[in-house]
Amino acid sequence: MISLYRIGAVTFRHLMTMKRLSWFIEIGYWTILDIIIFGSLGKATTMMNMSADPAIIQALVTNAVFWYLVLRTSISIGFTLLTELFDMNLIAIFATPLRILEWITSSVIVGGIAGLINFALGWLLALIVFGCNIWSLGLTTLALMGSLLISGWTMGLILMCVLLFVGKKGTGLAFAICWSLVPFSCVYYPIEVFPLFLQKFVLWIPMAHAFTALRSAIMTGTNPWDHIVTSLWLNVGYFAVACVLFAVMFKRSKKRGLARLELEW
Amino acid sequence: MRLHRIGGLVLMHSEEFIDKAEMLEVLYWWICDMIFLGFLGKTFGALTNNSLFGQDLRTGASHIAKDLIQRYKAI
Repeated sequence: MISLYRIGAVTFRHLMTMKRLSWFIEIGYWTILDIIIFGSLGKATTMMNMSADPAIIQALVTNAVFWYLVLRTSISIGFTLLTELFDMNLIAIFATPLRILEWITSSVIVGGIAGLINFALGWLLALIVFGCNIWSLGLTTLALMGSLLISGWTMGLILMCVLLFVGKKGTGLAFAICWSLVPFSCVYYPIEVFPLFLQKFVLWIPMAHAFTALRSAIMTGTNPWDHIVTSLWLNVGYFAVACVLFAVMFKRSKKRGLARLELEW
Repeated sequence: MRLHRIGGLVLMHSEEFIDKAEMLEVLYWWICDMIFLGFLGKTFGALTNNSLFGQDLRTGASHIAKDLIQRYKAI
């Protein structure tokens, strides 16, 4: 039987580690940096080419904010496992009645909360620095937030699978895995930039559909529901696969001994 | 100050770079950045097309010249 009390306890334990000024500085630093870089890039483009659409600034800044929702969610999920490994606590928590499903649920909640905090910070920054209001897109913003949140959860679970295989040694991988899809997710450029063979591959990435939809909504003012629906379907499918993969990996890792994950460095 | 102690520490840390995983990580970020910046450059290169920029300048300059000639004639 799944216990909400246990899920709440594990969630609370991880939320407490986020209640530090250094955590807010860390997420704020990277978000500020990217928003300023890409907002300025958009501004430079409109200054260099008078015929360039000024909406490009809003498209770049909005996409950067949404990208941080995916990135922070996935990294935070991975860090729930890494925190247990560095605190030598993984064996201890599984000596309690905590079930694997409860643990995953709490990690997903923690990842979601961290992602939404980062998103809120990005929204404020975009509004203050470049005057871009993400919520001006209305329902599209909400739908894409939901879709990209699932993308973050999926990437986080895949990251956890890798960490369950390599243990503490995979700390560097936490960021590498999450960033690996940026070049192919159409965050800062359209799908047409890719060569044809790569476009076929990119169409299978749900984030590419979500960011294409976002860019299209800002630049043309239309609601590209076909891209949003495709991204949602792909996300749900991949999330289900990631859950199964995680269950299999955890079982295999448990057979080999969870203690090795805490000791090897 | 002993040079062999400095050398010893440098050697100790440089051995970390010789590690295969460390090399792979560096290579990974390099490839990732090259792909990302390559596509970004392609996009913004097209957006800030130099010939277009030049054309705009030329068009603007000719408009200003025509305007000046008309004003001169009016005097």
